[in-house]
Amino acid sequence: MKTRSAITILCILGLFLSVLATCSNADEMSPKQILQLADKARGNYEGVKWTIYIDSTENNEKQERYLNVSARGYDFLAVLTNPSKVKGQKLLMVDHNMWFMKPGVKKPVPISSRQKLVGGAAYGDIAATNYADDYEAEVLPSETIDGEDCHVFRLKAITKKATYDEIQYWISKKRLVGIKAEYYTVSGKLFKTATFEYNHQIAKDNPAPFISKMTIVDAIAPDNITYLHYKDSELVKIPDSMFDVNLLMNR
Amino acid sequence: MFMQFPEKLTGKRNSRVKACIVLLETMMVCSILLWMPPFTLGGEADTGEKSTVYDSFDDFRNHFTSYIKWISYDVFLQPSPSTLNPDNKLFNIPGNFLTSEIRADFSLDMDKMFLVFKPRINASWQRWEDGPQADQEETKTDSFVYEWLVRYYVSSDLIASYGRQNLQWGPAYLLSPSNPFIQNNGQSNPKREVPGMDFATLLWVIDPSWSISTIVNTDQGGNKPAFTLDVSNIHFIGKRSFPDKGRSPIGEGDVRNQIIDILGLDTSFEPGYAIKVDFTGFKKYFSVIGSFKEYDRARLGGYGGITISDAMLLYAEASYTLGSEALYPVAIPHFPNQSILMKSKDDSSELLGMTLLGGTYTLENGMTFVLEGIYNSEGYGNEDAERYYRLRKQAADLYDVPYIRDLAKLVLYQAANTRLRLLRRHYLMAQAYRNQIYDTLNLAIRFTYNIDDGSSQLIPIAEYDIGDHIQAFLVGQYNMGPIDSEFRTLFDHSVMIGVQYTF
Repeated sequence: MKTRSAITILCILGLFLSVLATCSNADEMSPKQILQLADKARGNYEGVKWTIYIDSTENNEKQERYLNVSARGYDFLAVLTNPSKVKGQKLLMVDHNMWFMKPGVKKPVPISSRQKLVGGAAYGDIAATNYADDYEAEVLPSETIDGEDCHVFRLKAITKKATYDEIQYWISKKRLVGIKAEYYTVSGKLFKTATFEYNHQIAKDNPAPFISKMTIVDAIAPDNITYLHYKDSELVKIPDSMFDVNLLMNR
Repeated sequence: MFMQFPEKLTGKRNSRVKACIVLLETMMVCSILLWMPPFTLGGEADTGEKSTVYDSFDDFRNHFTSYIKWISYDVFLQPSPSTLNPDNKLFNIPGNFLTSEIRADFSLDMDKMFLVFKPRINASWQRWEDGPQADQEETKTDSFVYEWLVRYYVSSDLIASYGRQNLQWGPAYLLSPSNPFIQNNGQSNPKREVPGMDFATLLWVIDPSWSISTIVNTDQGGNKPAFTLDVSNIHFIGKRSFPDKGRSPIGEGDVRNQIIDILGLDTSFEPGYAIKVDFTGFKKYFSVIGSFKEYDRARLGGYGGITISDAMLLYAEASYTLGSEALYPVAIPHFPNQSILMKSKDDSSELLGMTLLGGTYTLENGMTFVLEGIYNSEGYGNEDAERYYRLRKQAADLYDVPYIRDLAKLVLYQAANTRLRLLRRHYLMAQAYRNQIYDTLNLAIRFTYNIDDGSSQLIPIAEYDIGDHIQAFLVGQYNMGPIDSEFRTLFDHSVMIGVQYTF
């Protein structure tokens, strides 16, 4: 009897200690480590391929686009596949130089990042994220979002390559994935808010949550909403030639 | 003697046999390469998931892409009363040209290989309002392969390819001086396909920033000269002046060939070679292109661009060489007001070429403004231009005179084929465009101004999407200025109205 009690106490103690250790590990993780884990759920710096369905409503106008995207860091090649009127159009971003090509015309033309993708989606939203390396994190008091305890970071871009100048980012303490972000201009003005869902799992041997949906709401006109649905995600090492503009014409 | 004008516009050929040959060649090459030991791209090899042999039709379908479009358009043309085309007798430009075409683009990505096959089938009807075929009509059908390509990944970063391609590069909108192979960059009319040429290329992607391409232009493909002249059939005062066809390499030819060469009458294809070095850095890029053609001189070109802000881009393109292959009007000694078009700068060591500077600015709503300026030192100065137009007028006046009609035709042929991309030296181009207005409308308007002769060209382009598959479009071209000026050389105006269905 005594032995059983002792084993029970030991088990409870062990469980308590392991929970404590887990909690203290999470608490002990640096902001950079937390951001690295959150980045993993939104792509891969080596490369990611995915199909993105963008569904946008802006000023009561609805827009839909399907894109096949191969991305590595901030570089990406996006081929529009649907609707038919845009089928075959291509976007290539290499080191923040962007090229657009229409089928038929063939010649890629350089475009600026002000040329919108669709609705509130930025070009950076169809590529993977690397907030851990591109932003400096300031830790803000924890908050609860939809009942989920979150780390809150104010991220300030430390590289010119970053898509956004400043981001306030909520990362779930339990799942270690980003669940909300607010994007600010250089002058500190909020211009859009995004929420993220992770209903995909990408690694077969060690399943981990992976982004499935991003919802972007315009800060000035909240009725302008853009949904990005990420499908068929595949982590792959993408070769340099994928982003060579010489190959864009026949890709 | 002169090709039909619509063929010049579209680059279409009666090429059913050629299409079949190309198709067979493509299939043979593919078969051979498919039998070679399979391997995957360096990056993708890590996944170990992809193989060359498809396990199922679904797998094949996932690697196969098709893009099929039916396009029909009617072009209304108003030939210009210029001295280059007296009474439309020389170029025989139809007043109305109706075309219906199926454009199919197929590609198959097989990891180590990438295949492209783009067949075209069309039917056309044309009617002439004036010229030798005034009030006549003609209907014809054609089929040809617009582009085909076999790309082989020797490794993930070393890529060899061969095929017929419309090879384009450079940031400029008006034209791309740095491209020594294809002059038309297709930007003035998005509905008209620029004919491709046959190229063998080897691309080495050194790292994310640098790559080197070697390019060999092996055949003119569909990109035939706009107007050709059979010199062996030219008669001066009743005699055949150039009885044989063909040409010999420079230095080995007889007097006949030397005359043909210096007068720029040869239309035979010259294989071309180029090395292109590309660099891409943070918000900037540049390329340097060294090239030469077998009977031409070496040429150095390049382009580059920088991103000034999220709204503004600046870029430049240039190409320079020593001397020029172009024809210049040379005064004939002791005959005032008489000149002859010839390659007078063939042996010159003067640095000649073209520089284009440009920039774009995009507003918050997506409206983009483009401004480009061109300095073309290879072009005609005022004195050259005066001689050129005088010569053209003299030839036009003699066009109907018996015995010397062929001489007039020869001079006009030379005048139409000066080998200059732009006739004069100073140009400005302004363009504004906005795409996906209300997700249905693309609008563009381009104005090009020849500062030297005061002529200009206005090109409006409108595309309106009716649903997801159908698009109605309009492409206009209005040329303004003196009758004898660059932009009024062939048309006063043309209007293309059409509709396309994308499957």
